[in-house]
Amino acid sequence: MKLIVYAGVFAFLMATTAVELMTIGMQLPRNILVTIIMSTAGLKAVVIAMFFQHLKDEPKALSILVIIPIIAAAALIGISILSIQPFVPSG
Amino acid sequence: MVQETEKPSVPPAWSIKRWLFTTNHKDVGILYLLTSVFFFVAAGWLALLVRTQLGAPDNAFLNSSAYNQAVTVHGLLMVLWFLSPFAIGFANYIVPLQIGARDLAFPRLNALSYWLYFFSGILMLMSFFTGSAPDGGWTLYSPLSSQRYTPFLGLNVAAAGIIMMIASITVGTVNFIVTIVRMRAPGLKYKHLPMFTWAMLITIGMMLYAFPSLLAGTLILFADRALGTLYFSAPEGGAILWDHLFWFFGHPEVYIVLFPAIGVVGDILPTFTRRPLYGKKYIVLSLVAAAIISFVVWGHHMFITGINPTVMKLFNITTVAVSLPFDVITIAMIETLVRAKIRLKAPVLFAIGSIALFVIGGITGVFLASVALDFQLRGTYWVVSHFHYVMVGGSAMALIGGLYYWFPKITGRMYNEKLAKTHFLLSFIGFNVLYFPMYLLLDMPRRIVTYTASTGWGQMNLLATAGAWIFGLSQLLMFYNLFVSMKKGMPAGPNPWQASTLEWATSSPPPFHNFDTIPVISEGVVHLTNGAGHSAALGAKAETEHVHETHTSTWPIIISAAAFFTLLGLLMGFPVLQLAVAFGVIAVYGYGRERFTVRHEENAESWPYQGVENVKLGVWIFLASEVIFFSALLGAYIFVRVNSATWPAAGQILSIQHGAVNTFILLTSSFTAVLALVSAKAGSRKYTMLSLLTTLVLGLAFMLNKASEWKELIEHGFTFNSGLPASSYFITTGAHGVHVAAGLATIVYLIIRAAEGRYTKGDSGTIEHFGLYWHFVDIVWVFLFPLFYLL
Repeated sequence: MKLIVYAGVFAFLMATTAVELMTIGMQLPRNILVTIIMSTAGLKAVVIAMFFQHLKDEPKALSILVIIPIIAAAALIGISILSIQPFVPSG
Repeated sequence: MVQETEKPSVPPAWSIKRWLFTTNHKDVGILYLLTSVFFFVAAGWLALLVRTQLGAPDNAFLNSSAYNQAVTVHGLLMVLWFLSPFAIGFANYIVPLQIGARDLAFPRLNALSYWLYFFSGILMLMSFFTGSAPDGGWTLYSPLSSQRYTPFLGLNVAAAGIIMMIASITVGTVNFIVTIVRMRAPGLKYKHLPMFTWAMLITIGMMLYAFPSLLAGTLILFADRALGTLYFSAPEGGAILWDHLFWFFGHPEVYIVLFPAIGVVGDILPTFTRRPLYGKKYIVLSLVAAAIISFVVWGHHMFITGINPTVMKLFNITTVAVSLPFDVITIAMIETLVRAKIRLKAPVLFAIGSIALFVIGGITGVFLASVALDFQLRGTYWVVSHFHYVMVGGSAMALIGGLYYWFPKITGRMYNEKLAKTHFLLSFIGFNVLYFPMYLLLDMPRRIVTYTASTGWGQMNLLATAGAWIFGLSQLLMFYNLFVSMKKGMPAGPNPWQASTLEWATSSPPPFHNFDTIPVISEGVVHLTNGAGHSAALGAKAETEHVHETHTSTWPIIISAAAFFTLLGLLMGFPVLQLAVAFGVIAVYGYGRERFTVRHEENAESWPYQGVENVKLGVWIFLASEVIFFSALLGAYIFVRVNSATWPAAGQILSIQHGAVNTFILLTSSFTAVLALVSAKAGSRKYTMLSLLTTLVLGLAFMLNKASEWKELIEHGFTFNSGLPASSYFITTGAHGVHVAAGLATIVYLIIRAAEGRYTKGDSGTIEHFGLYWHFVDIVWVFLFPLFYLL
């Protein structure tokens, strides 16, 4: 990969971090704020993995190796949070 | 062309040095088998104490404290230090042979994995000498495991042992996955893999993703107990959080223990029925399906904890679903036996016995998928019987069958068949006399030290205790048989069972390099070809070629000992800790610099990872486990935060400025790490060094900034035990900081090596591998920053 691509990725990461910092200064509803901030973090993570860790150029099986635990972790976090939500009987 | 075989530079088998420093997979396998059998005996002895206590009403053989310790340590040892390591012992010895490899991908890591396991077990046993061993049950339920209710040091020592055990497992999983997916003999496609290797591959995959959750939970438990953090003692975390973290690991662990046994049975049945395993493809698919579903069934262990009923419904469905693949497996195995001319030798007797016992254990487990029934049966002897039928009946019996099956391969001698059959008979009878009465004790609570005669439980308990002694003593027969046969048994020859898998295509015991020539598989048929290209029949001795590899290293045992004393130091205080850490750093450096040659076959099967060399794949596998580890830590943080009525607003306690500066620093360090790789590939030593140095400086700046933030916070009363915001912050950023520190130590090593002229002559792989780790640490921070500082 060319140096200019790495530099571009670096600039993107710095810029998105600045966006995160600016976003918290805005008076946004909590849900929207959380969505924007966490989506930005997710995007940064994907960019680092694709370009700095070169997943973009590796066999897809390597990406799958990493995606599987992300799905498992999402299940762990999601279900554990759901498990402590109060039960509201239907009807 | 016949080439001279160079004798590997290893001490003879009678030398202690050989067993301390060996890296050969067969030696390490034997070490695993022997050590796990030692823990089996220790845990079995504890079980006999427990059963003796319960054998009569109002018994005072053990007091409640001793009883609780015996029960707890029995469970931990059997599950973590016997069953899995016993299977890993077989995997070490057999898997490379079954795939036609000369060794595992990383022989020194294999030795490291064993020694970490060995020392972790020592830590576990040491807990008995610290006032009290863990006594709250093997599940270490919170808040019973908190400092308040279990004030003894023993649980801290045991937790340290569990952490070390998980380190051993992580190292092992990396090794086995790389070996199986990238080092299969030419032509050995996945569809030709023997059942045991298939089962181990799936098992190891499950271990990779299950154990980090236990690691996160145990680390938090350790921090709660040693540092005073509040995760498991605060009501917002507490019992439910521990349950989630533990059982996310705990249910897959049942299959982690069971699958190798299914693999053993899957290899034994075709050999002794002289017919292919019925529906092998569907058995493999069922194992994969069960492995996947096993990660979403953990909540059925929590039905009585008061979790959301909708979530209970979900777990009810998934738990029933996970039983279906096992139906397929069981039916396929029974179908293999139907109308077969079975040679009734000891291995197949144990295999058939294990199928029968697993059917009973499995069916009685399905009852527990029902929320209504689980409310009645949870915490009773029904559950005790169910999981022992699965884990001892289904798993341990089959693994013992595996021991008889592969004993001739490992030792080169046959065991005494009559004694082995007697052993099976006594074991099978003893097992059922021990555990079946427990199904009838479905109204007896499982965690009581004694009971009164008026309960009516006395007779069944007496029967169970008699069964325990029969089962326990029958194992002595096996030890005697195998010990004597090892020296005096009939010579076995390469293939005494006329089996068709690859381990039987070499001598018994196999030579250090396993095969004189690497086997080639064509359409599932093995060819042992010599240099001239002609093939030999299975079991025949082919001509030899030049083989020279390293088979010993002093560093794995030294690193493991240093880790052992480091953990002890954490419990005992600074002088020991400092010495152990210094010792460990020197040992890791020595490991890095050691010249250790491993031969890799150029044309080995490696789909789907062609082009991804072994170390790189190993690093990615390790990072996959790290994804679960950090997700579990972050999940714990999100859990307590969602569950808390109040939480400090962004910027109220943690300085956004501190966090932002560290984010910019770490992102920049990732960029300089990439520059180091670019420079190394370009052959520029100067810029490689400069980029690595810059990465080091940035990493140090991150750590200094973090340290100053910690200091500032602690001075202002935001301490480990000042509330959940503080506890979660210190534990999570602390774990991340330890990873950064490990990365910095690696950079120092890289700089030293780069100064010596390495990495710029087409050997930049090490810098790339370091980069993968460093960028991952960066990614973790990318999530920590918003979660702790911005939201």
